[in-house]
Amino acid sequence: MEKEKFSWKKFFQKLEISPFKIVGLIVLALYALSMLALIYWGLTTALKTQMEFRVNKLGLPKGMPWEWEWSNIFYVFSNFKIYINTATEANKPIKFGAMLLNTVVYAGGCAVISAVVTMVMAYMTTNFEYRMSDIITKIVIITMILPIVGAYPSEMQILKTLGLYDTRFGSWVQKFNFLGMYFLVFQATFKSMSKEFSEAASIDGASELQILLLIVFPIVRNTLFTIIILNFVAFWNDYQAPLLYFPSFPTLAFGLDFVTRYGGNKMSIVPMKMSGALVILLPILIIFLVFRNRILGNVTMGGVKE
Amino acid sequence: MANNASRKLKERNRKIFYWLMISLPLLQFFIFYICVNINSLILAFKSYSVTEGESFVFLDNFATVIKAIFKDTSISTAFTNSAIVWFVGLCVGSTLALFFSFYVYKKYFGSGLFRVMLFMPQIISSIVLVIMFRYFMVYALPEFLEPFGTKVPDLLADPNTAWGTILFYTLWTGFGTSTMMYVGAMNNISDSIVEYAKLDGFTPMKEFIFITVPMVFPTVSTFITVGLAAVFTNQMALYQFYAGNAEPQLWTVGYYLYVSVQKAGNAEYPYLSAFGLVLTFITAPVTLIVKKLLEKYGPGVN
Repeated sequence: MEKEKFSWKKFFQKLEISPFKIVGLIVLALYALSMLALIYWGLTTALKTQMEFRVNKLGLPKGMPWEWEWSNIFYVFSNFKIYINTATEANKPIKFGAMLLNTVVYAGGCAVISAVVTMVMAYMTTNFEYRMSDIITKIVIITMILPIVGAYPSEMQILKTLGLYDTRFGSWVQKFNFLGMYFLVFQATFKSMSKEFSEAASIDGASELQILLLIVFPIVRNTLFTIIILNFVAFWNDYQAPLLYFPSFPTLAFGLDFVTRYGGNKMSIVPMKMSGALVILLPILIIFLVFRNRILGNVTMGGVKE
Repeated sequence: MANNASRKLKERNRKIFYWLMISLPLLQFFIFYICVNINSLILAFKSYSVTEGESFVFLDNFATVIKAIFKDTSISTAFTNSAIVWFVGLCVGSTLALFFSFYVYKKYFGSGLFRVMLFMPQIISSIVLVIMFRYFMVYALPEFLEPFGTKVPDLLADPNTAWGTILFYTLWTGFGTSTMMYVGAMNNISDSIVEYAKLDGFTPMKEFIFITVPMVFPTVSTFITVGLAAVFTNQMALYQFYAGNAEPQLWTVGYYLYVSVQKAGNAEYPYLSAFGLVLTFITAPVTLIVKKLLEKYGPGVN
């Protein structure tokens, strides 16, 4: 029997290795490495003393893990403080706990309100075939494409006129809207949903509200939950809207920005700044790692795969 | 007869429910979109001073804006920078995002980890990421490169390198959402098409260029259009890096507007509203034309 001649080409074909794959692997590995290096450096720096950081900028903190400078984290919890000027008080101190509360109220409230309003509007426009439904869908598409630039001054004026500027309620009212990409995601989900259950419920005498709350909500709860998480992450990290529209309710991201720029004494050293960053990063990183499959699980403009 | 009346009553109740459910979000839209933009339009024709209060100045604010765009080098630089960021994002960012998405979609080696890593900048607060990046560039990078005989200056403080560094940062942190959407769209490509391509001897590169990209082009086109619409709101993380003190040669239009509004009082609002309107007048037709062109000439699958 004639022995088949060895060929590298065939060997790679068998392994399904192609230059395209190799280039992709190298570029993505470098990307992942750069991201991991940054996070590693941030984490390890957060657990060093300033003295150690001066002589050891890249390596792990000295000693065993339990000997590392964990006190930096506790110091941040107790000394993370900023000063703001409100209408009634100058240089009002805001501590970590208050900023955490502001962040949870802002991110949690806005995430739920924004997702539920978007879902309800998408449901209405998909299941109620009125002319207004078409108009609403067109409004969403047009506002996504048509750029409105520089409406900040006008928005500030309107918020102040309505008494919503610099209030928690105002932040929620601003997010009580249905515009944006997730409207299309919900619409696609409702379009692909079977109407059998809601029709049967309707024949059995269920009201429209009962159908929405008891049938539709449970069916789309996975999609809704995914979008609430995505919104929560975005609002948790948002510092520009609070800075502009609700300066008396600084969030953690706002506070970290303030502290790293203007924080005096111990908060101004690099390891302490990294500890502050770590404190803000950890909760959201845990949420992401727990729900990563859900967050990254095929959210498309054609709907969410359940 | 009774049946007819009952159907009419049901339809009436349906309509009442419909309007009850949509009225509040529509009211919010009316106030925070329609009224905000109408107010922005009116503001742009007004002037405000402490002594004289409000007055109509017709096109004076627009004249000031046009003059500033052409005469003020900081603002013309901001326009150039915004255009560069958009163009580099389109050519380099979008291409890489598609390439990365294809790698993840095909589930090649390490795709699970890479997917998480690509989305990481969307998860980490931009403030946190900027703080880590800024000090990494100042302390860690020079220390790391020193043994190789390379001396690295503070790239973010040196005006000659700051712009390039921030542009790199913008690209480096910008793959998350687009990759997630592209992978989602790629997963919807029919398996039979991919199988046919395989039988026809398509290499991964051929499959990427001739099948995957054309099939997900509606999503790509949406990203291009939305990206173009946001060309003048992109702040390029300048505020996170420098707060309100970035050097004028680094400004983008989005940064200039945000910082100006943050520092502004009633007297400056009319000028800034006029500025915003001028930008809308520039961007809106361009965005719509590009959208039409993409729909007409974008790649298709035959």
